[in-house]
Amino acid sequence: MDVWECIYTRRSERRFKGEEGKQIPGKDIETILDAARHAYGINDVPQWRFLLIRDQDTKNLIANFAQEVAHMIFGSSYEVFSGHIWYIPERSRLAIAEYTQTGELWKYPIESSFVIIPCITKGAWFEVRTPYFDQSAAATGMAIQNMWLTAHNLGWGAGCNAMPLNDIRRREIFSAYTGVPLSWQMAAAYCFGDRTSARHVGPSRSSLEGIAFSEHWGVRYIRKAFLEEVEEISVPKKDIMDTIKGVGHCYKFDDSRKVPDWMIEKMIHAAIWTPNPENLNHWRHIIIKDEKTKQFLAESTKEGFKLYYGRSFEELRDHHPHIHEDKLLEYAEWMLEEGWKYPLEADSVILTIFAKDWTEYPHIAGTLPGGTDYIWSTATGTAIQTLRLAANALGLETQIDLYTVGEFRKTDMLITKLGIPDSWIPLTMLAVGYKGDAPDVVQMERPKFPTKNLVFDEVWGIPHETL
Amino acid sequence: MGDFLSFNDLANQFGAKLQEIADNFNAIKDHPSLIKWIDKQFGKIIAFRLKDDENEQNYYLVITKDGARMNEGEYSAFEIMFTATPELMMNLLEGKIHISTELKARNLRVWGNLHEGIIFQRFSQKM
Repeated sequence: MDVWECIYTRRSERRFKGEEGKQIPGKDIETILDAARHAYGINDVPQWRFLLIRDQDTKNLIANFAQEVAHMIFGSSYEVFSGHIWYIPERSRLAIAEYTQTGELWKYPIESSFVIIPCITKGAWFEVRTPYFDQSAAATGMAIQNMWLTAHNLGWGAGCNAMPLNDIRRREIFSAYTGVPLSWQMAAAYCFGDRTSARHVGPSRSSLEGIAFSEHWGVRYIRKAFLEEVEEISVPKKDIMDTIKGVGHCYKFDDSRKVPDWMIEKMIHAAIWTPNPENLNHWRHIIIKDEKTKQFLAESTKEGFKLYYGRSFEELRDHHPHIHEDKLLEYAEWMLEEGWKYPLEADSVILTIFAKDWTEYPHIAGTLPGGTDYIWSTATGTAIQTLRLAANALGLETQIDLYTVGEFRKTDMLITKLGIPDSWIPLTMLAVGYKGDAPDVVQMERPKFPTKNLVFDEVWGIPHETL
Repeated sequence: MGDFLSFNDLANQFGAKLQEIADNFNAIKDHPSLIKWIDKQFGKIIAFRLKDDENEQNYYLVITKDGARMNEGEYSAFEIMFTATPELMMNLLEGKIHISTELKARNLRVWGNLHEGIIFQRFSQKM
């Protein structure tokens, strides 16, 4: 399937055929799991582990949890619930509310072929001051988007059930049931299966001008077609699986080549059509081309690179097992001299920001403490992955940068500089441009971790057996 | 000999009809209904992909409060993109088809915001 068709026609599917339909064959499950490994990991180490659930009793437990929580959330008030389905005509909302408040809609794990429970590290991977909680969740979202699109490409449906593991009590029960350590955050249940019928269209999303800013928060990005006649555009076609596997690192951009505006618009437009809770469109993107702002960002990266690449040889070696010791110094020296410049050399930098405070869930009768936090950053990760996939399909390279957003001081400076309100959280910077020349040792891709090390079958710690 | 029209003929006819619609939007550019549709946005971009087994031709309409412009080719970021054969697409412009019916029958495909397409069709029928 063409990448654009895949992105624009992917839906959240919540009705599966169960025993009356087909089970997803092992070969397809492996293809779906493999797609996750091609997503970004901080230092190329995935921030997630997946629990693969095919056992019917466990799926039933997940479904029952989901119904209980949905009934609790959506049963509280019609007025509150009505606001959640803002995109549905008002005359239809009461009937939908009556059905939704039973929680029955969330029992679809029962009929699914398999369920993936993402378990997100709570920041155990780094020895820096900032544990990158939200970025870890976003990286998990990037992996999930790869899986979702792969499933869609194969003709299967998938949907995110955000309900079952929303609260501490149910997470503890599930942890006792499946052995997931509580040092890993369980976030939602992603259900895959044989869908009852294809959804031809999804709920309407924000316009591009509604979610994208130019250079500074609040300065709306305006599509070029509204300002002037644009020259002929030809959006290239590319297979979705080639695109998923083609996304990689880029520490050197060709700063002599300008990226046409329409390509940046295409990236942002594609990212609008990623899964997000309740269609709240809870992310914003600031598109930065200004040289001074890019210089500011690059200085943050330089600082981060000095700390990271200036460490001891032994630490560098342990963090880069794919680079031979003979080449390690060359690599580190290049990163310290040149590597940090990529935000400046890129054509554009896209800062993705998300909001955690879209819902009133924590305030409904005091329920669901600490419940839905990770959902927002995980879902934003799916949008970031879509930006990267779109860029790759357009012949561009991207590089995720966390140095400017991962530390309190730098984030504060960024928020002040770009006028970002307190209730919005910068999540990632994405440098975008055409590929430049970097030494072979820098361009080397790290081998991916095998699926059996990242996926557990039914119970934590049981390595996945290839199906 | 029958009136066989090639894909290109049909696409050109469609383009001409779309230009007519653009001209009509220009004639009503201060109309309250248009202003209400655009509201606080900068405008709307409605895209059309005419397609059969072998051919593809794209058009898009840029509609703002200052008027409308028809363009041949594709635009990267649209409110909605319709994909169908030239004949069905012409019927869509003329209001001869029900969008939801054709979607369910898989004769028409939509990327983007369906509600924008429905509103656009209502405008195009009145013109």
